[in-house]
Parts: sequence; C-alpha cells; structure tokens
Amino acid sequence: MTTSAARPGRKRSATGFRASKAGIFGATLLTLLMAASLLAPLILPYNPLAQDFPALMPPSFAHLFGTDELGRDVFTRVIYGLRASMTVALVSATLAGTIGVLLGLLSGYLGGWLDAVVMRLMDMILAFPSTLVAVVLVAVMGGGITPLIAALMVVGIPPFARLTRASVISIRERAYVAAQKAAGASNVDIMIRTVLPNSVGGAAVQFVVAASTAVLTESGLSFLGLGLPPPNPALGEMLAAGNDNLFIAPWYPMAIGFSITVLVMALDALGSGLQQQFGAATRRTAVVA
Amino acid sequence: MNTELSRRRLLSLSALLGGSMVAAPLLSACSGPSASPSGTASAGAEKKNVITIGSAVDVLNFDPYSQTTNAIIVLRLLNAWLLNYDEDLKPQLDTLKAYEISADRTKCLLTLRDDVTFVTGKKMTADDVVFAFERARDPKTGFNLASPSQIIASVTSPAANQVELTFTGPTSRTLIEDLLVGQPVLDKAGNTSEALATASASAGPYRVLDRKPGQSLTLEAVPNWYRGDVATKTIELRIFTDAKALTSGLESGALDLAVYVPPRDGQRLQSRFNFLDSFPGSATMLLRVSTKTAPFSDRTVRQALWHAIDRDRMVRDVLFGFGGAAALPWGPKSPAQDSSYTDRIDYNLDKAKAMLAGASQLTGKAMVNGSDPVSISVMQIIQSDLKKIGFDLQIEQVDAGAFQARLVAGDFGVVLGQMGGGQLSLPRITQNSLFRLSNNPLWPNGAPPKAYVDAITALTSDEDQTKRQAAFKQLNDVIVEEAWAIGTYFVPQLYMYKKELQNVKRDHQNALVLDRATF
Amino acid sequence: MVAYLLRRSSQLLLTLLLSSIAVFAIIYAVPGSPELTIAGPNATPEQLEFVRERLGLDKPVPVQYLKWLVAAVRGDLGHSLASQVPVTELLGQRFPATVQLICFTLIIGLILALPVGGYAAMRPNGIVARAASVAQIVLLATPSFWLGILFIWIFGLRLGWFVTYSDFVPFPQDPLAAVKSSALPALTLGLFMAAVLIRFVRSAVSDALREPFILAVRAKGIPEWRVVTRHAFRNALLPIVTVVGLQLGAFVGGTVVTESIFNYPGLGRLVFTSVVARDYPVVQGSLLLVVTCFVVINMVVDLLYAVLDPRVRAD
Repeated sequence: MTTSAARPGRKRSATGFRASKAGIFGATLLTLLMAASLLAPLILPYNPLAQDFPALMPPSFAHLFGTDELGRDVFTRVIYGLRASMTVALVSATLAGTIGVLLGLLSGYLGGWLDAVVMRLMDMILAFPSTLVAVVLVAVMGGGITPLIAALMVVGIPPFARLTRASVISIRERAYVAAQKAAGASNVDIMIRTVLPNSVGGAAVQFVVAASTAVLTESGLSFLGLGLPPPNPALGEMLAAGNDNLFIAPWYPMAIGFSITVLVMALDALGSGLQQQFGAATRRTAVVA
Repeated sequence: MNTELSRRRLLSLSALLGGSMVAAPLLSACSGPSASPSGTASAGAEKKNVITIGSAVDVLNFDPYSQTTNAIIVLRLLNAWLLNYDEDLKPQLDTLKAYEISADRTKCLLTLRDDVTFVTGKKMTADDVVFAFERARDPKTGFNLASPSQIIASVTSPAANQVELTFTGPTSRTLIEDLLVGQPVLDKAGNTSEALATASASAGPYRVLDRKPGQSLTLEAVPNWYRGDVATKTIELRIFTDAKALTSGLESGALDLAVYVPPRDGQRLQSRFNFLDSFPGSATMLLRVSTKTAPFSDRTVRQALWHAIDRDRMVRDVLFGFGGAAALPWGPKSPAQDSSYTDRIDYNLDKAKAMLAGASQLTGKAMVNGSDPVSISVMQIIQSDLKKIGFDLQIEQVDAGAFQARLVAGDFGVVLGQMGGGQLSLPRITQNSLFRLSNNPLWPNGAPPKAYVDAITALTSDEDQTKRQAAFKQLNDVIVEEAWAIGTYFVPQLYMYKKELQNVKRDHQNALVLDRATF
Repeated sequence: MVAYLLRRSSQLLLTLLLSSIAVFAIIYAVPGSPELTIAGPNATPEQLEFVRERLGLDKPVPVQYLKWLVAAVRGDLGHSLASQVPVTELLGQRFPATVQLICFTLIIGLILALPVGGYAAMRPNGIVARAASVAQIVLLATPSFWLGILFIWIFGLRLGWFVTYSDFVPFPQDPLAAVKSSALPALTLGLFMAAVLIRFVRSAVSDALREPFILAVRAKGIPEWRVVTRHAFRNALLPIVTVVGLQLGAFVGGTVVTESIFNYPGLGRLVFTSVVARDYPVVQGSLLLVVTCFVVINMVVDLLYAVLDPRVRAD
C-alpha cells in the first residue's frame, strides 16, 4: 500500500477545493442548471416543441425569453437545450477522458514505438483547429448526435493523453515503483495501483476543461448547421436561428448566447476549483472561434 | 555578463519577431489580390456607372447549359438567346430575325440575325447555332438542356443564315417556343463545359472582367451590343455566405441590388427599397415523397400528406407574405391550373388522421438541408402538425453536399425540393428529376405511373385543345392520386434594389435583365 | 543548432505527409460528391458519370492521392473542382486576408493584455486585477461568435459605426478602409485573445518580479512602474511570446464560425465551404496550409526557447 506522503498531486491543505470561491460558485451553478434541466418537464409550463404562440414575441412575464420564429417558448427551449448540451459535453468528455487516459498510460509507461506512434497521432489531431476537425468528421459521418459526440471526443483525447503521459513519465522512475517491480508486481498492476491514481487530479481538471470546450464547439457546429437535428432544442442552432432574426428580434440571440456563456462559466469555475484542489496546470487555451 | 547579453539578444529577437509578424502580412498583402473594385470607394459620379450586386450564392461557371440557381444571376447578363419571353410568356425575337413552324409542326426554320458578335470576337453563324443544339441534345454534355432537347430529331443548316430543326414527331407550338427561348447561342469554339468554367463565349450585354471565386465577379459592358447601347458600364457582383450580411450590405448602401433576400428581411425593407418578386410558377416548392420508402409506399399515406400541410401558415409565418400557397406544381396562369381540386387538397388534419388509420407504421423520415433555414422551419411545421395526429416525422439534417447526393438518389422519406419550369409548357417539368419519365428516383424501377407518362406524351405532341384539356385533367388527377409530388408554396426569389436604380427587370426564369438599368 | 533545425524540419515534413494522407482518406469517405454541384440537382446518372470522368474522380482513391502528391511536391495543388481556379490562387487570396486579420487581432489583444496584465501583476489585489479576473472569466466562457453577433448589433446596427459585414482590403492599399472593414471581427477575436493572454502576462510578470535581480533594481531607486515595464517585462517576454505564438497557430483556420458571421474571406471559411461543396482539392490544400502554419509557428516558438534557453536544446 502506498502512504499518502508518497502520493504527489494531492494537496491536503486549506487551499483546496473548499477554499476556492470559484469552485463553490461553479459547482453550485452547475448543480442548479442540471437540476433545472432534469426537472424541466415537471416545473416548466410549456412544451419545447409546441408551436402554439405568436412568433418572435419580446420577453414578457408569460415568456421570459420571448418566443422563437415558429412560436415556441424560448426559455423552455433554452433549458432543454442546456440539457442537450450538457449531455453531449459530459458524454464526449467522459469518452475522451477514458480513451485519452488509457492511451497516455500505455504510451508513457511502455514507451518505445507505441509511445512514438501514439504521440505522433496526438500531434496530428492537435495540429488541426478543433472546429475544423469536427466539421470534417461530422460531414463524413452524417448529421445527428452520434457523429457529434464522436467528433468532440476525437478532439478531446490528445490533452488527456498528453497530461497522463507526462504524469506517468515523471512517476515511473520513482523509487517506490522500482520497489514494486522488484517485489514482482506486473506492469498492469503497477499502472492501475500506483500510476493511475496520481494522474487522476490532472484528469479531473482536464475533464471539466474538455466539457466546457465541448459545449462551445458543439454550439459552433450547430450554428453552422452540423449539429443536432431539429426540432430538438440545441443551443447553437437556436443561436443561428436567432442570428437570422437579429434585426427584428435582438433579444432572441442575446438570450441564447447569454445562456451558453452561463453554462460554460459554471464549468470553467468548477475547473478552477478543481485546479486549486489538485494543483494541475491545465487551462483551456484551445480557440473555439 | 551572461544574463545581460541574453536579455539584449532576447529583446532584439523579440523585436525581430514582432517586426516580421507585422511586416509579413504587409509584404504578402502587397503581392496579394489586385485592387478590390469600388466596394469601398464611392465618388458620386463614378458610382453612377457601376451597379453593385450582392448575392448569397456564388457563380461557379459561365455555362448557360448548367443553369443551376447560381448561374441564374448572370445568365442574361452574359448570354444571348434565340428568343425571349415577355411577362405574358409571349415570344420576342432576340438573336433570331424570324422563325417559322411548319404546318404539321414537325419542322421549324430559324432565320438568324447577321449582326451578332460573340465576346470572343467571332460573328455568329449558323454553324455555332447548330453546334449549340447538338451539344444540348447529347445527354452527357447537355446538362439542363438535355431533357427538353430530346424532342429534336436532327439539326441542319439549309442556308448561310438559317437553321432547320426537325422534331421526332408533331410537337405542340408552346413546347417548340419554350425550346427556342431556352436555347442560348455561343461561339462554337468556346462551347464546352470545360472552357465555360472560366470564360463565357456568348453575346450578352456584359463580359467578364475579373473573378475571385467565393468573393466577387466583375463584368463590363460590351461595346456595340447588337441590341443597342448598354446603359451601365460596370457590374460588380459580391458574394456573401451569410444572408444577414447580404441584407446589411443592402441596408447600409454598399449594395445597389441584392439577390435572393430572405423573406423576413424583404418584409422589413419593403418600404425603403424596390423589389421584384419571382415570376409566378417559376420556382415551386414541392414535398417530394419517395414511394420506395415505408410507410410512404402506401398511396393513402401519401395522400394524407396533402391535408397535413398548412400552406397558409407557411406563407404567413415563414415567407412573411411573399410567394404564395401552391397545391399543384403549376403557376397560377398555367392552363393546367384547376380550382376544382381545392377540396381534394385542402389543409384538414382530421381528414389526414382518418387516412393514416390504415398505415403500416406511424413514423417516417424527412431530410433537410442544414444550410437552408426556410425549409428547416417549414419541415418543423409539418412535423408538428403530423405529431398532433399521431404521426412521428423524424427530421434528418445533413449538409448541402450530402443533401444533393441523397436527393438525386431518392434516398429519403420526404424532402422539400424546389422545382423549376412550372411556368412553361407542361412537358418541361420533366427536366426535374422527380418528374422524369424514366430513371425517376422516387419510384421503384424508376418508372412513374403510366397515366402520368401518357399525359405528358399527349401534351408533347397534341395541339388539339380538347385533347390538351383532357391531358391536363389526367395529369392533375394522377398527381393528386399518386401524391409523390405535393405542392407547398411558390418560392419567393426576391430581388431588392435601391429606389434610384431604374429599369431593373427579370425574365421568366428570374434571371436578372440589366441592359437598360441605370441610376 | 543545425542538427536541431534539421530534426524539427523532418518532423514537420512527416507530420505534413501523414496529415495529407489522413485528410485525403477522410474527405473521400464523405458522402456526396462535387460533380453534383457542377451538373446540377436534376442531373441524370450519365451526366454525373461524364463529369466524374472529366474531373478524374473515377480513378481509385490511392491513385488520385499519388497524382496529387506528385503535383503538390512541384507546387501544383490542383484546381478547384467547382470553379476551376488553381488552388494556389485561391489560397493566395485567402491567406493574406487571414494573416491581416490575425495581425489586427494580435495588436488589439496585446494593447489590452499587456498593460492590464502588467498592472494586475503590480497590484494583485487592486481593483484592476479583480476586474480583469472577472472580465477574463466571462470572456473565456462566451462563444466568440456570439460576441461577434453582439458587436454587429451594437456597433453595426444601433450605433451605425461600422458596416456589418467585413471584407479584406489589403492594408498597404487603403489603410483606413482596411481597418474599418476588419474592425469588428478583429475586435471580437482580439478580446478573446486578450482574455487568454492576461492571465499569462500577469503570472509571467509576477514571476519576473520575484526574481532576485529586481531587488537590486529597486534598490537603485527606480520608480516601480519602470521596474515593471523596463525590467520585469523583459524577462516575462519569453513565456508571453510562447503563448502568443500558440494562439496565433490556433487562429489560422480556427476562426471559421466568426468568419462566417462577418462574411470575412478567410482560410477557415474556405475550408468549411469547400467541405460542404465536396471540393476535394481545395479542402486538401487549405487544410494542409492550416496545418503547416500551425506546425511552423510551433517550431518557431520552440526555436526561440532553444536559442534563448540552452537547457531546452537537449530535446
């Protein structure tokens, strides 16, 4: 068994997650948003697909964000859209994280030609701007939710792989690993028992970063017409429809853009808090423009 | 000291990097594109001799045989034709001095003008016209003109400035005139799709001066044009990918004329700008139903769709009052138009529900083009209405490239597809894939119903009015009963332009006619 | 040094080769094909076949790739299937546009990030630092294309200061028009870049301020602001330049949605429109240009590190 002293990467001081204002704020906001979207069918008065109202009405008490071009309540659609965005983001981030961490583990621990091939592949994916990769992949696989998640997953894998590999490399030469090997532990054993737990911190932060990037990339794709099929509310697509109506109903795109920003901010804040907990240094610098 | 030195080097290196970052674009921009024409400059007197047009579709080539929506914009600006139609579809002579249809309607003799010169410098001769017809007749090279040209059996030149067409059988007069109106004349030497990809070869009022694909196209007036002086010297076409950017360009005054303004903006700008709506019936939006895909292989299910389309709401909410409801594919002035069908095709959800009662399944797939917001909205309206009566229509959104491929293959349940030619004589609708007489993608074995084929054949050759009326009725009956092409609305292809711009016209195909346009 | 350069260059070429194969393979797997755009939606199967042959698309994919590769090595990237224009000409039109936009973006980003970040480093608990933190969080969470729409609405429509669509006017040709026509997209992207940079500027300058030599400088009696600008900044430049370089690399081609909103004729939009049109040679050429820029910029940044910090050279 490893002692806590020999597990770098976990700061057990008062500067952890709990002391991070951003972290608390993010976690709270995210919980609120998730609760709202899960409870939506119970608490919201309108059906997101019901085209019952006059089109493009400004915000009022009856319709907090007004109505869209087909007479549907925008606020309801935004809440459902947040659900869709969060689902896509979390699923793709989970898949990317799982595959990425696995690749990073194998690549960093085993080294050699496997390492070279995997890293070359990661470099190649990273050399393309994420939006373009997603555009091409979605075009190949057709429209719908599966290609979208697949595309987001592909662009999300390299950061996980890289940081896991870096963490693995820094750990594998340490004394206690050598000791375990000498004691007869298999490679798999060592990877799972020792190496993996030490990479978890960085992976957790990266997970949130990947999720928030996924929300932005998915909005961008939906905006370009490559996202979830209608009439499912998808924030990016609604933003595109809102954009078309910018001149006659400016509140429409404003409300949607604001909602996307709030979701991403919640995720980023959560990431900030996790970063303070785990001391990892990842930050979302990928341009999603 | 070491640190001192490296810091100095660092500073100079950063300065170098920064300087090169700034210098690089300047240098590359210097060798970059030539001066972008008058989009930004706006001296008063200069402006009057330039018309700046904005379009949301690019002009991909100069081949009048191709006639995709893109090419429509410059079709009449760059090309010359044998005949033209006026607003009442009466033929007017263009490059023909005269034409004569034989009494038995199997031949047509064309007499050409002798003063037409192509932009290539060569004068028009009978040779060029014969070649133009031959190219149209060849299914491989004729593109959009191939189908209508199948009525021609042979083309000869009996005299220096004459061309004689022999048809496969007696052909109705309107069909012959449609053929002549639709036939462009080009210099034989430049009349191939490869050559026309980069250079025009006809005798229109303008010729191509400069071209940046995806960005702009500049045209200049041809001197000594055979139909008289061209009013404005230069036309500049600017390409936009975003319809909103196009509208902003018009509103801000940077554009003089905007092509295909979205109906929503058209309504808003109506008071400040002039506008031309499309020729009635020239572009009809049909709900194409593939009879190969369940549950639409069942005729009753297809017929139910007639009653599930709220055409009035579409015109009101999505088209903002432009265009109009269309149940049958013909224009309002078409001789085949028949109001007695109104009851058989009205919007009535209860009727639709009753008809769906015996369907094998109550779900179906619809395909939409991701870059067409209007059809996305319309399809959602249909989806919502069908949902009310228990039918689940699932919408598949694909990008433009995939959409085209699947449209051509008939690989969908229902799709909204625009059709052209509904304003001409009826057999012309067969140029659209869904109305093809053979190789029809919407029918198993590519064969549409026999009644349809017979009606079209009758209308191709018969001139007898009684027989034609009977054929119209047969045609309407089969289209309503077999329900593979359901009319939704007439597509408003709006041209909006500044009030100071005069004499802006469009022809029966909605191609811009600007040879007399001026400020 | 030379060995290092050679090694990196060969890595670059390998990445390019692999990328070109990957792009080719993927693009040809996309359903739909360019002959439809040319032959029109009512084309018969014979017409499509004829156009396919003319475009050379009937040959097996590996053969087409080899043909492309051989020509590419000689500098011929083929012709656009839709417009027949040489791909190099198309890239020659779009690349300067993208570069110019990036330069304006960079200028705006630096003008905002350097002073604010530096000041925040000087007074970490002051109001500027706090405001910058908040602004940064909000900006990084905002989809940059929404910011663009916001600016179009405010500056283009409400205030009428700018035309709401942008164009590429080369700076040497007409500086004022160039600035005016790219102002809104540059502002949109520039704010985003500033948001990313501020953090780095702040931490780099903070780190520099903690260096021992700063004590010596302060002991000389030099005013604080000069300490920051003259001395701390010099040392902070390297990490800042690195981040700027990485951002630039990502901006080439990564701004496709923003370009669409503003109708700016950049490289990203070219890739998008050609993917949709299935214009294979253009997709291939433009994607490779994007990759090349990214990799070259990365290489330059790494080079800078290697030149200035000998510890890094043992790669």
